[in-house]
Amino acid sequence: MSFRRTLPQILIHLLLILFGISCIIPLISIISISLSDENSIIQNGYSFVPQGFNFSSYAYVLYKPLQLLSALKTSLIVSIVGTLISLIITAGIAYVLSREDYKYKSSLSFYVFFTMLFNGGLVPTYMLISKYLHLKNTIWVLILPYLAIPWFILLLRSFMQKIPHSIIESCMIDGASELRIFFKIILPLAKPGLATIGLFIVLQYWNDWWLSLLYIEKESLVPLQYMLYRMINNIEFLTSSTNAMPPGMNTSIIPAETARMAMAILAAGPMLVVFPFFQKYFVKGLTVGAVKG
Amino acid sequence: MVKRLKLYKSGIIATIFILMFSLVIGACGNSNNKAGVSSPETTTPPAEGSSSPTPAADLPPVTLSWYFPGNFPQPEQDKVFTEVNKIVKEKINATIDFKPISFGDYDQKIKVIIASGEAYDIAFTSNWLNNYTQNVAKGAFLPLDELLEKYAPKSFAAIPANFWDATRVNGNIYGYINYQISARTPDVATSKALADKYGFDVNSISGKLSPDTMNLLEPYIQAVKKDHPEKALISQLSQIYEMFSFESLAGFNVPGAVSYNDDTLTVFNQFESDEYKKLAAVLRDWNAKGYLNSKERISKKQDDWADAKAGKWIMVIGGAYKPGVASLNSELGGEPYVSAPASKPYLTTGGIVATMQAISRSSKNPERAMMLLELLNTDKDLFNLLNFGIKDDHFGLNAEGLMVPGPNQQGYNPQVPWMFASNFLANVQEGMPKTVWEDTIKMNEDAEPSKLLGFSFDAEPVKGEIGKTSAVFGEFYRGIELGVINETKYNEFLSKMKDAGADKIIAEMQKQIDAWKTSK
Repeated sequence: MSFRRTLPQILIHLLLILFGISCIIPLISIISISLSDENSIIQNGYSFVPQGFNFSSYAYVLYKPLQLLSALKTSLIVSIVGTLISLIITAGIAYVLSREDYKYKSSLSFYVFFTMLFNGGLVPTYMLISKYLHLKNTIWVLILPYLAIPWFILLLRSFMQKIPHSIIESCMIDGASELRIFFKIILPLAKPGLATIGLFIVLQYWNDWWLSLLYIEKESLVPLQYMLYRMINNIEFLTSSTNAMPPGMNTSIIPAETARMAMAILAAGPMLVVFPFFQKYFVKGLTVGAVKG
Repeated sequence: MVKRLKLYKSGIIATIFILMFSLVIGACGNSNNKAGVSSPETTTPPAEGSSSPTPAADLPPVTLSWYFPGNFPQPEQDKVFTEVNKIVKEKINATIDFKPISFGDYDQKIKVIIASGEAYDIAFTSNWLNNYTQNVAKGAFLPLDELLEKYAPKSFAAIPANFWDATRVNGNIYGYINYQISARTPDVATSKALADKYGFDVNSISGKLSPDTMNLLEPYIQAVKKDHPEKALISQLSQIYEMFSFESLAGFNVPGAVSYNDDTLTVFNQFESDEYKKLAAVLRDWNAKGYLNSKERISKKQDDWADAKAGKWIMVIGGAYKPGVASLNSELGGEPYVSAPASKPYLTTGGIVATMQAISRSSKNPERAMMLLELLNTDKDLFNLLNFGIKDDHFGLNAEGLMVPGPNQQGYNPQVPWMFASNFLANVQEGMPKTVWEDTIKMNEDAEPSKLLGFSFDAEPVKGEIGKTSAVFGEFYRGIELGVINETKYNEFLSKMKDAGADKIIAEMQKQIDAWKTSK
């Protein structure tokens, strides 16, 4: 009997262990490469144990740490401020949409849903933001466009729909105002949902380089991901189109393999710390929207 | 209930209409945009009057924004830009709003800026980044002829007239040339130590290589190979295509070429030419003899100098030959190198339009922008400041006046002299011959101009075919350059090229060339 029960379990565990390993391996190898000696990598290829252990690539990346620090600062500000504001707005819309007794529920839902499928396109958006809203080269341009993401709104709405309407009704009978119901009753009840959506939003802000690519030209406002993306993109460009370029481009200045990995570690590091913190809610929240009433 | 259903239905219909409408609007918006850019709404005609340079004090202060690509950001770029602006302010009473963009992002970013009609003054343009021909066709740039004569007489005269002709589209110049090496031929480079040891004189093959004469290299390769089986000969198709006796019109990986000696300017498929087939045969032979270490190299998509550093190269045919290239190679390879030109250099449109600045239609101060270009191309100190940073900090000069790295070189070292202005104003680096720029200019002047000088192929009409054929090239090139595919496979490559639309591209090229010929 025990065999029958355990065999699938062993299989599942094996599968999950393999999956876990395949997630960790790249990370380990990145760390190892970043600590290796450049020349030995060229000669022997990558390995999981650093070859010629040294911190020179970190020294290279941190040569002028101001740039990295200011990028980190921008990323942190954008992620924290953005997530807080975005959560409030997302929760606000989602709550309203989840209320059966809201008169314009379907048209508002449609409005939200519509923007998920259609948008103004790149150039008109760019013109609106840079020409009319004058948001170019401000920190707000990194925050505002992602404040209300339809997908997250719909996700949170389905979560909130599971909160029984009778709770809201009884509050009303007790004389609570709508705002009070929202802040004192709904938000605490929706905590797991909020945490999940919050995590998504943090990731969205943290991983974004697109907005900064388009709208940021001031070096002091460049976030970390864009800095990283720019570096990788640059290397790719230089190695792939050297033959199209005018002669005399010295490709020896491309940051070494080790430096790139060191940069990746420094950029990804903070997220690794944030993740476990959210994990508690994450499992609960993952079932968001799975069962619909 | 019925009413609700009706409402629901009409709602659906309305939605469909909205969607269709938005599609139509989207399409219109696109073309409207283009039209918007091409109509010169914001063009201020160049100020009339004074052809002599006006003293700075008489000019009203302006700000000029300048988009350019490069290895940016540099840690101390703001410091250098501030210094540059001090000089520019003094000389032409302008402040440059520097917009350095990293290479990888430049194309995408400048496209959006141009399409949105945002005001800027100067932008880098070329045939490999921020495509010149397409932008001119869109009407994104100002014609420069008048401005050049009026505000940049010195630098206009410094560049040969046939160079300017190469930039002309419908008779007008739209790009300000950053003068640099434009005569193209691949560079044959080998380690000095190796060449000395095996008694190989690189100059003995200088300018003599072609698919027929590749055997000139064999004795040397054979000798090295005997003692160093780990070393290989490197010759990538993407880099040696300029060795052939024809000009590839849309890049090495796209069918369509015109022979340099052909007065009729007939386009043909270079991959089907005898020359190309001969080269493939030579490489096949060399692979059989083991010169290429194909087995090891095939896992990589392309070879890079890291392998040279690791001691895996005998010799490389590739890159572009230019005076002083040996010192660059030595830096890349980590040991002294010797170099020679592979074949006779030719002057092509591609070599000239590779580095240019354009003045935008949306510029409010085109005259001042031109003055700035003139200043950058005539003021050696200013150019070197922008190029190499602050003297004795980012770079230094040794007793002979050659440039050496400064104590703080890492702070500012963008390495793109041809991007800012005329390359020939740059400080000569230590290790290069002192006369390197004179030699380069001479090489430019001595090079035989292609009969197609002034013609740029507009790839837009056959974009799809170009994508497909270059994908086919991508599938086969490594096999060809490593000599591992046999003749049947090569023929398969040719027939796949045909299926991908090679003939259509060639027909389009011929059409454009014929139109260009009559317009001339």
